[in-house]
Amino acid sequence: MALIAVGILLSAGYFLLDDPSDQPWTPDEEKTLESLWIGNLSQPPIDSSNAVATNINAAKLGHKLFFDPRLSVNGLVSCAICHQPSRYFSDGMAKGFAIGEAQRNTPSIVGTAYSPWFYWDGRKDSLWAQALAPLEHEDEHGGNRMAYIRFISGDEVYRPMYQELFGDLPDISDPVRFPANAAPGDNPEWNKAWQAMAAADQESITRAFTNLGKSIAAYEMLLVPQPSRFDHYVETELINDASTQESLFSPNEKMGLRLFIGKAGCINCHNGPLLTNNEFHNTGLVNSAGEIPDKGRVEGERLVRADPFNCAGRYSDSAVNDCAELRFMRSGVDLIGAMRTPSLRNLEGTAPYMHKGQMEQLSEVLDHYNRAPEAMIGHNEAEPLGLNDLELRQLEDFLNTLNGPVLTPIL
Amino acid sequence: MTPASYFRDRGLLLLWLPVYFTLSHAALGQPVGAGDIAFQSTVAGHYEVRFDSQPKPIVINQIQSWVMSVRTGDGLCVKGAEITVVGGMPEHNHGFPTAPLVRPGANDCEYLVEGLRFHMSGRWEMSFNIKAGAKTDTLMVSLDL
Repeated sequence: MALIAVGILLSAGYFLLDDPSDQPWTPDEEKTLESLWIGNLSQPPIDSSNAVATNINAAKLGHKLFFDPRLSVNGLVSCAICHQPSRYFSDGMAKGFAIGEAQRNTPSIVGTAYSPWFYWDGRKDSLWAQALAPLEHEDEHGGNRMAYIRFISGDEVYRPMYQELFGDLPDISDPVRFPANAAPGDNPEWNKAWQAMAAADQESITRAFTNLGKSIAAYEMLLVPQPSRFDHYVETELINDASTQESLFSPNEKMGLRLFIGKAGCINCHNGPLLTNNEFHNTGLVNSAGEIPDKGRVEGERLVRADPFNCAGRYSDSAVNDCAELRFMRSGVDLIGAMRTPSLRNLEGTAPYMHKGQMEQLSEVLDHYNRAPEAMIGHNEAEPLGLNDLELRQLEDFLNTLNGPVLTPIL
Repeated sequence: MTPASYFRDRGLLLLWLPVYFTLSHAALGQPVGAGDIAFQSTVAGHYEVRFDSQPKPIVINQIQSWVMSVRTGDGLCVKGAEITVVGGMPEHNHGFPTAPLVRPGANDCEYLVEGLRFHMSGRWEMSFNIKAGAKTDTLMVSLDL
């Protein structure tokens, strides 16, 4: 009898042991969860450099341009070739490919309106300045601004849309003043034609070109994420609906979330409603074979300062004192090899991961952060985490709860 | 030189001005701005400092400026001070994401702290080095965002 009693007591003790996945969130943890919640995503910051950023007609023009393959040298490349709506506005490849291969992984555009910097190295400081660069890049759209303005001027749909927003297009009827193709840059023939143009003509073409970028930006600003299962989970926490909460997350997913905001330290960089601080960090990623390690943000800072389309440039609609991000950029050795933190929403749509698409699977990413290897250039900020296989799996399960649709604006 | 005169001459004092801000969701309560904090003086303070933040209250991850008002214990404006600021999040082992600068403001008492950005919630600590004439003081500010 005594043995049976001891047996029963021991078994009872086993079942009464604390199961960490059952523990309620503390008030501080709840506050942290709320900081990640999509309900806290306010309106994007005002882009003072783009006078039509919130203009619905500009967004309509930008939407058309975004999906138009005629905005390219071969008539086959639109922005949507690499920024595919069905792939969360990325392309499912390690590095982007249109006419040629791009240097890096195609970032998703969703939610980028909230970032002060664009590209992995932040070399552009506005959505519109970023939109212009692929249009003239030989591996992307491969075109030139003179040809684009000629196309818009001759198109019976685009011309009135443009003129309603920006006034008259330049009169390009004189073929001597305005050649077929011209743009400053690496194409020798086009650059020669551009340098032969009068300064005032270069100016009017460039200005019209920037207006196209500003329209595309007005559309892109509307691309924001919609609630995911994680957001519903946070809502049940905020309204104390314990029974719904239990049905929303598995114990593993809940443990993964605990790790995310706790021991794994992910929230140090992946914070806020978009799960990114949009800052630049070196996390020790191995470069692609045969390539020089990427200097990252230090190079990006140099480029953005020199960019004629930056906030302080004459095509920007900002007053001089508005360009605070540009004026107060910081330097630091920690920016060597540092890349911009991507959002963790909708990871199922944005594989492969990292700036050169080095990692196909989330498990590889988590393993990388767990080991925190030496960086090839600069210094890896991350420290080894000491997580076991189960914990890594739980983190991955949690990351999969962040998937959700994109707001598709009705234009 | 005695230890007392060493400290007096240096005027090196830590002015602790703990300032707590809670950024709450509208449903949970009224947000608090930096401008709601009154002047605080220290144990043997050379300076008293007050902040007004723009925007009120402090918004996460948006570049912003603060107006900083610096007076002596007698309430006189401290004019022409050289002020520098450093800071970061000690728990997360990083500094400011930007390089803020302090310049003279609208009047003799005021200075403009420009280019501040708090890119995540949590505990931020800032240290203002205030040098006016021969006196240099440090003001420590803690924020819970």
